[in-house]
Order: sequence, then C-alpha cells, then structure tokens
Amino acid sequence: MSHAAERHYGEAAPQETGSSAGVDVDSNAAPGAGPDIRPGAAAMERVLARETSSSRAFAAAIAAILVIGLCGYALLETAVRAVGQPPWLIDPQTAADRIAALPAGVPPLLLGVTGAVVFAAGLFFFLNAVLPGRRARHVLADPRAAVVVDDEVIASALARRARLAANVTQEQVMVVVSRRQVLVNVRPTSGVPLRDADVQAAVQEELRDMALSPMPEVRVNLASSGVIGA
Amino acid sequence: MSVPAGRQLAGHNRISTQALTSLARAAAAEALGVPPQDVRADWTDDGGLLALSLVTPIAVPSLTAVLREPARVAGFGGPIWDRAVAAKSQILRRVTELSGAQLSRVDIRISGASVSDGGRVR
Repeated sequence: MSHAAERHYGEAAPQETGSSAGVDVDSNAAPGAGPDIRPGAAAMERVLARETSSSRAFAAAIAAILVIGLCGYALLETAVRAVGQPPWLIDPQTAADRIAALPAGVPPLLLGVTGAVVFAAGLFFFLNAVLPGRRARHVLADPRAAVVVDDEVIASALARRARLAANVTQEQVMVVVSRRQVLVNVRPTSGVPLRDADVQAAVQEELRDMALSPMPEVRVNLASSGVIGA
Repeated sequence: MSVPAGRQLAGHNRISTQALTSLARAAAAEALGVPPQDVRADWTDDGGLLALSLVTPIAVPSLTAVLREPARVAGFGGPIWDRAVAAKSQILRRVTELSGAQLSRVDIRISGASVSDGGRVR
C-alpha cells in the first residue's frame, strides 16, 4: 500500500535535500555510547515508530463518539421508563421486540441500505484496527539522531543513480520504492544496449550507502523497446 | 570509453534524432551517389536496437551512354539491385562507426533514378 513513484523531471531534488523528516532526540548524549545505554534510546524508538506508522487516533475517536452516543441514548430511554414518563423516541421494550422480529416491519430496501452502511462502517473500523498502517517512509540508521526519510526522496536518489549508471535521460527511468522492494524501470536508448546487472549493482550500492532499515531488495526492469535519439 | 578507469564522470551525452537522421542521409548519399537532401531517413526502434529505413533515389548513367558503352553499368557498381544490397551494409557500417549506436537493420526503398554522366568510367 505504501509506495511512492517518482519520475524525474528536473534536477531540483538532489538526494541530500528533500522532505526528509529528521527528528533529533537527545542530541546531548555521548556519541560513543551504545544505543542501549543511552537514556534516549527508548524515546527514540517510540518517535521512530510514531513517524513510520500512521495514527489511528481519528478512527478511535469516531468509534468512541459513536459508542458514547448510543450508550447515552440508551441511558436516557431507560431513565425515562424508570421514572414512568412516556418514552422520548421509542420504548426499550418495543425496540427489543422490533429488533427480534427484524425482517418483518421494515421495507426490504431500507433494510438492505442500512445493512450496507453498517457493513461499510464495520469494515472501515476493522481494517483500521487490523492493518499495520505503515507510512511510505524508511528509517535511516544514525547513531545520534532519529532520521526518517520519505520513500519519494529515496526513489529520487535511486533514480538519479540508475540514470547515471544506464546513461539515459531522466524520463527513461522510473523508480518505485515500497517497504521491502525497490523497482527500477529503465527504458534504454535505441542502439545502446544496457545490461541490467550494471544498473542493479549501482542501485544496490547506493542503497547500501543509505543503510535503510528495513532494507528493500532491488529489481531492475529493462523495457524491451528503446527510445530513439535520447 | 575515453573515461579513465576507476573514475566516474558526471553528465550524460545524447545524440538527437535529428543528428542521427542527418548522419544516415549523408551515409546513404555517399553510398548511392546522390545529394543528401534527396534522401529521406526514418528511425524506428527494433527491440532496443535502431532500424533505419531510407527512401532515396539512386544515381544511374543515362541510357544513351549505356548504349554507347555497356561497361558504364559495371563502372557504376552493377545493377541497381546489387548496388542497393551492397549499400545496406556500407551504410550500416558507416552509421555504426560514426554514431556509436548499434543498428539492427537498414531498409532501402529506391524512389527514383537521378541520371548522372559523371566521368566515372574506369
């Protein structure tokens, strides 16, 4: 789900810049100290986890508001009945009877629509809870700071490297970075055969220098037809 | 190729389609004995290699000259068919050598004959 495509149109984004979100935690710690001794290690882990996975606060808040509203209404109706007043919208007993005899008493169309809405809402909450919810980002190993880089930035850097290795123009390279895989699409220049092993080695070397965690593996796709005069 | 080993020079060189076309026209003109502006050259991609298709006239001796002296045909290089076949490999070699790009095929369509009585009798 989390992938970023990057097509090179200009040299505006060299690999050093971009929207890399660097979060500096506990920069006063001794540089020589191991990551487990430092007091900030746990905090750094937490920050990295927060930065690389998307928040579920929104879905959780909606679920909480729904449950609170339902419970508040049930409380109101029960209290009204306990005091002996006429029900506000529907008497709890009648409501229970209606639900028990459900296929009857409601138009089938309305029933179907209600079912679909409830199903969609349930699916939304279920998937939000079960899916890992990772963002399209990778963590760069750094002894001092927590560094998180958007996949677009990685793709840009890798596309530049692949372009230099294959000696083609920017439009002929397309890189897709996902969590565990880097897909490099290269369209060669007509009359200049390319070996995908060269491109693969160059991209692999660049990735090794980046020291991403999780380290993606590289796949190079050479288009069978070339571009004339590029 | 001229880059010293172990040193990666930045930058990218490209040969534009226009330059390739001019080159092909010049090579064809040289091989068939016609002016380059009469040659039409078209590039297509052939599985990653270049395919060249040419539409060109060919230089022939005038018929009266041939009547008078049948050896003129051999002097021009033989029948038109043989000359076109020979020109294919000549053009392919020349363009490959000058542009550095690999050609896979050269298609020649003779669109006309330009009569030349140049003193090429040997």
